[in-house]
Amino acid sequence: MFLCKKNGVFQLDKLNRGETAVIAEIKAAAGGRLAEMGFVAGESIQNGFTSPAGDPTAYLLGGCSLVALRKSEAKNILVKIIAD
Amino acid sequence: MRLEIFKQKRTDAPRRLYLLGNPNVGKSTVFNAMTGLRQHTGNWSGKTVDAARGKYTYNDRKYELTDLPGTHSVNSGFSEESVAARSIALGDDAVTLILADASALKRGVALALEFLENNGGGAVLCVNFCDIAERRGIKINFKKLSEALGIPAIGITAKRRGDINCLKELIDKNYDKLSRKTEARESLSEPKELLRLADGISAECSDAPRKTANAACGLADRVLTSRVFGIPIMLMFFAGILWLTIEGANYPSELLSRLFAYIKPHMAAFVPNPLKGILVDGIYGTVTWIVAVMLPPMAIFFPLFTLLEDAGFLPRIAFNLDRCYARCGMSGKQCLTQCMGLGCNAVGVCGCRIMPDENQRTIAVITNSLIPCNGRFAILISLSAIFIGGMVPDRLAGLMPMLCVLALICLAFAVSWGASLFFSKTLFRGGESAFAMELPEYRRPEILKTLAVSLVTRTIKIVGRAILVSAPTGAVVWLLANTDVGGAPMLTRLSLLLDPAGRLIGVDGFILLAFILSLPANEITMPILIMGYTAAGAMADAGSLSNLSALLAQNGWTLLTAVNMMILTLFHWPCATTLITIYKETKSLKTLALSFLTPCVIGIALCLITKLLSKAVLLIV
Repeated sequence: MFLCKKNGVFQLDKLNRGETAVIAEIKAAAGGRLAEMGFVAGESIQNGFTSPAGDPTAYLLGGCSLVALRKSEAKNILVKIIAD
Repeated sequence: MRLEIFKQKRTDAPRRLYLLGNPNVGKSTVFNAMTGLRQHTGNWSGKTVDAARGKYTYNDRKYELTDLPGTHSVNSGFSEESVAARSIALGDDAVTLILADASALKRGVALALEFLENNGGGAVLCVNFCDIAERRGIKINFKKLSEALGIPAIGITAKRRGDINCLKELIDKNYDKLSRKTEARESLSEPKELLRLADGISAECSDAPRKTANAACGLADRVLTSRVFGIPIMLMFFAGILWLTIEGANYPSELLSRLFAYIKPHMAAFVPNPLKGILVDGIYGTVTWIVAVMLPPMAIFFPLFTLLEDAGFLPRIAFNLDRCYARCGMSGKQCLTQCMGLGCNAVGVCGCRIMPDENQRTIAVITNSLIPCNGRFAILISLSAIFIGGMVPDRLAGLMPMLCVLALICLAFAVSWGASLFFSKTLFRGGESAFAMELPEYRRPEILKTLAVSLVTRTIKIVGRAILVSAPTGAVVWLLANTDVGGAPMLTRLSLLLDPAGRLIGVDGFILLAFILSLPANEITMPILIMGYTAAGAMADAGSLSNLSALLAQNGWTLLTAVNMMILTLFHWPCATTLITIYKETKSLKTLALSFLTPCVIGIALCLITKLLSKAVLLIV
């Protein structure tokens, strides 16, 4: 799959600070672990803030919980931006 | 009649309750409020690592409440959560209290749905932090929620006594009905489906304002984790706490040592002569030194640190520093275990259970004792106060010891990263690089309560343990110091034996001997050392800091000795309690040996380096 913002679906680590998207798909390798934390398709996700060193980033998941993910882990989550 | 006796027995057995909830929904707080126990609460996932049990009586009925560790899901394979899963399977005729956070109702509802699918019933949904949610304008319709889930639902604020009573009343009324469960559903829904269902229910039952989200990513997080201010602010917080500790401990410390010195002759009058030496000089001297010098800094530092912890600050530290841990092949969660280690390394080693990866957990266990626990912390504080503080002009005397201790702590963290890097590249390769950690919301800590609880439960307990260990050690060391072998006290003989080794690394035999004899508890290193120096075996008058300074100078202490003593305080072997805990946790002699040797090797290497450096400086000057 070609991933870029124009195409609609892209990896979570490309989401800019403050932007909100919806989880489209989670790569199988990390699916179980991330689902435990509440990362499932259809959930809304916002890039909250990034640590001083640039990684990890804290994401606001479903408007209620704040979860820090490293870039390597965020790559496993595909998201798309939904226009309001 | 018989039936009645039978009935009596039935009601005598406590009704069993389980407490289940996602991390950070205030489980420990609710548990403590219900049972009156004081389990230490923490604002991060995995703080409660083992199931805790407590009892209470309501309406003349006994209840036994089991607090299960934080869980994200009922049927999962993580070690952090398996305790929860197991206990749930055991609890046939029990009622489970599912705790949720009012500001994140959806996740609580998802957990409740999952639980109900697995167990068919037998649960009460209890929504905590209603006060915070109210302030945010979230309104929850508990009647609707209860109908949608088919179990009773109640909203509480765990801090309020009345709310806890309402909860107990609800449980009391519904217990019999609830503990009879229906069969579990055979096919379980996908997590995706459950979440969608939970989303629907929570949206229907709560009336949330549109933009609650931004409250969580508020100003505090933007500043605390900002590129420019994040790390300096963390250091400043820490420096502030250290400064308060050092400045604040001075006065009570002086007062206590004067008091003990005043009591000493009065007490000595009551002790029969042959026992005077061992009881008054040996035991009384050691114990009062520990109380006078160790207690004040501990009683100030740890309550303050607990406040930061309760406010949700520690996970942000882990978040800010995660990059360093990533570089060392570790997870930022190691930072949390190290912060626990600042209190007590044995606790830190237990806390390593929150590390999901096996190899990383072993490394975290081995490197935990590189972080100074509070016993060693107090040594660092008093040494830097008398030695470093005495070397600078008076107006800097308050600031220098603080900077010195801060530098030593930074050194300890840097060394632990180095050691972690070494182990993750050599002996324990292949740690998981994935990292996901929840950042709990900031909560305003209950300042007075925290101070009181942490003073009473933690400080008194730790000092109590130190006294229990130090009293017999004081006696033994006194005996060693007063048994003549060939014209010299045994203690002096032993230290002479160790002296060449000590000189090699820039300290002396007495210092090495003090570290060896203080294996039972680090707190007693200084008293043993002092007893060794005052060769007669008695301590200089109950260890006031100025006396100590003179005593050390008399025994040839230089700046190098003080620096190397501090380095060895940071890095020698873990205390006996920690070693036992390491073995219990890992059941591996290899890990135990590595935990013992790693800090030794590092400490000796660093001492050699400082000695060479000081020689080089002397040559140049």
